[in-house]
Order: sequence, then structure tokens, then C-alpha cells
Amino acid sequence: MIDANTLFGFWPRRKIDLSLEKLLKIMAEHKVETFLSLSTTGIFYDYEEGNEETLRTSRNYPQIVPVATVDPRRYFGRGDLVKKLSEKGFKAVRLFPDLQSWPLDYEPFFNIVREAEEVRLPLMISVAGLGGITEITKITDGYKMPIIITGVNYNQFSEALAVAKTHKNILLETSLFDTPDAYEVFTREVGAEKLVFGSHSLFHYFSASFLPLKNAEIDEKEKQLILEGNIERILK
Amino acid sequence: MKIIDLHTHLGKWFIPIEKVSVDDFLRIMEKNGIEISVLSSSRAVVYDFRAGNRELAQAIRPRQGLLGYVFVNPNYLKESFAEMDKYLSEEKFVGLGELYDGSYIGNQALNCDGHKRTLERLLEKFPQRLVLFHCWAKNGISRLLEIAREFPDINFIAGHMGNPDWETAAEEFRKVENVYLEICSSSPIRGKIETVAEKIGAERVVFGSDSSLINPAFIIGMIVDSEINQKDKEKIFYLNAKSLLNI
Repeated sequence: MIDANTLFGFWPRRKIDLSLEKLLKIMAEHKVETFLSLSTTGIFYDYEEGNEETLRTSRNYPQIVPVATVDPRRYFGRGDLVKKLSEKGFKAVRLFPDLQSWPLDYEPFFNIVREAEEVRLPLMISVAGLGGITEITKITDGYKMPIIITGVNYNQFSEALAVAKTHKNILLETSLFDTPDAYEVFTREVGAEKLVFGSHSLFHYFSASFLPLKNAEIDEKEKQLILEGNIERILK
Repeated sequence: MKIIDLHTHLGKWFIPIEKVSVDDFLRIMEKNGIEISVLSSSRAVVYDFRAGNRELAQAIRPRQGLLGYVFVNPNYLKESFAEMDKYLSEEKFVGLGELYDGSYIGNQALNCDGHKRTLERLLEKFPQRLVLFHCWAKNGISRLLEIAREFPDINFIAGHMGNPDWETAAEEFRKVENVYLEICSSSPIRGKIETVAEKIGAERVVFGSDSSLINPAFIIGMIVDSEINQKDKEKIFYLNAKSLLNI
């Protein structure tokens, strides 16, 4: 099993234990062999410092796939940032407009997207509210790098279905796939190859996202794609 | 572990969910090991409360394991009283719910005069003493606290336990004895179960899923992973609800 959405570090907005030790323990308890992760230092304080922490940690723990982040509010616009991140060994770039309060209609964001496309590094973006996922498809129209929308919940499900159906490179991460038949509806309407499992550990309880997938009435092959096959394909 | 789900709905929502029939609902219960569910009608909550209550009554009367809440709309007080008269004489209906706070009922707040008059009528005419309120954020918490103080003989369930302010909910509702925190929401933030169990006590926390809107497995996963003892998990999943339902 591969978990595409984990974090470690410190969470200033609520008291939660986000320690690396706890993350390693929870991943081991749930038999997660590989997990994409980043340090929250990069979200809340300084992305360069956070990325260094992530990379350093991934060198010590081979089960961690390093994911970089960039805060567009602090983007210098030199044009080679994402290329350098890719060269350092990061396998994807995560962006957090919801936590950092920047709009999608934002030139620094457009630049980061262009840079990611040049080196075909997957982007992971968390979007709050309605209309944001649609906005991302407009901004990335014609681009080919995979874009994973994280944290899609019931409120955004209709929009996510529509977008994933019509945009080849858009995938969804499943940590908030919370409607009773989300997997059944999505795999039938769009296909299992557009989903990647993520728990959003340590911020979320792991089983909140895992049990709905485990219980879903879809083929075992489809579950395997969601649990590991799709993200493996993307990261290759 | 046995489970009683105190916050569920029968009917459709404004999102792509197919499993909304009563048979679907029963299958979801069985799959998740849920023995009893207490439902209100989504049609009643978001649209026509009389049609919704009627549909719900027809669905739960012949089926084991399903109990109901009557929904009342304070914009239609006289008609709401008639709904109470119609259904609260039946054992299958265990109380009122999921009573709202603005939103689907316009500008009528949780602590509006209409809700208060409904609760007075409940006390005067009926034996049921259970009311589920949608309780969201700090405003919802303070309004429910006011209601709970005014009606100490009624047990209130704080649906969603004031999400995202569950710490506040646990602290505020400690001040009264008649409010129970119900855990469901789309925010399975780690530590929330531990926090409320510690602050208000596991005997004041109950399981609810918001099914057919939310997958019960999503909410069950929160308790399964929480770092509280098995006895407290049993209280939250089953024992507290059993006591509230007098079964």
C-alpha cells in the first residue's frame, strides 16, 4: 500500500502530534509500505527550509517518498525552481492555497505550474470550496503533467467527477472520499485509474479514509490501482 | 463491537449519491455492523418537512432497527405541532431532529422562539425526551447551551459536536448535564475523539454518521483509530445511545 498524502512536523493551528516518530509508527501499524510526505515547515514557515527537512528525512527512511512544496507568496520567479527540486530527488510538488490563503488566479501560481510542466513533475493541490477544481483545469489546460487534487469531500464531489472525466491529467486523492458510495460512483463514471489513496496522516485518522475504500463494492483490481498502482505509475 | 447510529437521514442530497433508498440504507448498516439507526428525513430537513416526515414514517414502521426523529420547521409552527401530534404517539419516533440552525430553515436560529415553543410542547404532551440539533461552530454551541439550560429535562444531542470547535463544545457542554456530543463531520482530524472524551467524558459522547450523506465507515474509522480505551469506545459506539433510547 502507498499513502500519497502524509505530513510530519508541527501544526500551529490546533494541538496535534505531527512528529515523524508518530507518522512512522502509524504507517507501520497500517502496513503502509511507502508514503509520500513533506515537512509542514514548508507550508507554514519557509518552503526551502521545509524541503531540506523533507529531503533529509527521506534519506534516513527509504519508505518516505519526498514531496516538495512551494509557497507562491514567496516565489522569486527565477524560472528554474521546480527543475532544481526535481534534480534534488523530489517526486512531486504540493501546493496549499487553502492553508496559505492565496487565490488560484495568481501569477506566481501560473509560473509554478509552467515550471512543473517543463519537467513533468506531478503537482498536488488542495482546494477548498466550490469552483476551485474547475479553475485549476482552466489554468492547466493543455498541460500534460499529472495533477492530483487532494482533499475532495462530498461538497466538491460533483465538480471532481466532471473534471476528472474530461481532463486526462487530473486525478483525485481520496482522504475525504466520504459519501457512502463514492468509490462505486467514481469508478463507474470515471474509472479507478484516476484515484490515488491518501490518508492525510498525521492530520487525519488513517482509518477514516482507509475503511471506506476497504469496504467499497468495487473490484479488488480497482482497489489495488487506488492503493498503489496509480501512484506508482505517476511517480515513475 | 455493537453500534447505534444516532444521526442518520433517509433520502437524497444535493450531491451525487446513489445509495439513498431504505434498502440501500439497511445494507450500509449491515455492512458497518450498525444495529440501530435513528433517522430524520433529508426531504424534511432541506425542503418539505411534512412530506419528509410522512416518507420516513412509512419507511421505519415495518422495519427493525430503524427509529425516527420528527423534523419540525419553526417557520410553520402550527403545522409543526400537528406533525408532532401525528407521529410522537408512535414508539418508532424517539424524539425531534435533526433540528436546524439557520441554513435550511432560513433565518430561524437554533435558539429561536419557534424551537423553544416546540420543546415546551414536547414536554407538555409527549414522553420523548430526546432532541438532535445540528450544532456547528461557536455560535451553534452557545445557542444549544442556552436551550439546554432552559430545558433541563430534555436530552440534547449536539450533532457534529460544534465542528470545527469541538474543544469549545466539550468545555461549554460540561456546564450542563443534558447535552451529548455526536461526532460526525467531514473533518476526521486526529485527536478530536481523545480530546472530547477527556474534556467531557466518554459517557457524554455518542456515535453518529450523517449517513446517507456520509459513509459510516468514514466516521467509524475515527473511533477505531482513536487512542482511548475499549470501554470508552463501547460507550461511544453503543452504550450511551442505548441508555438515551431506553432500550
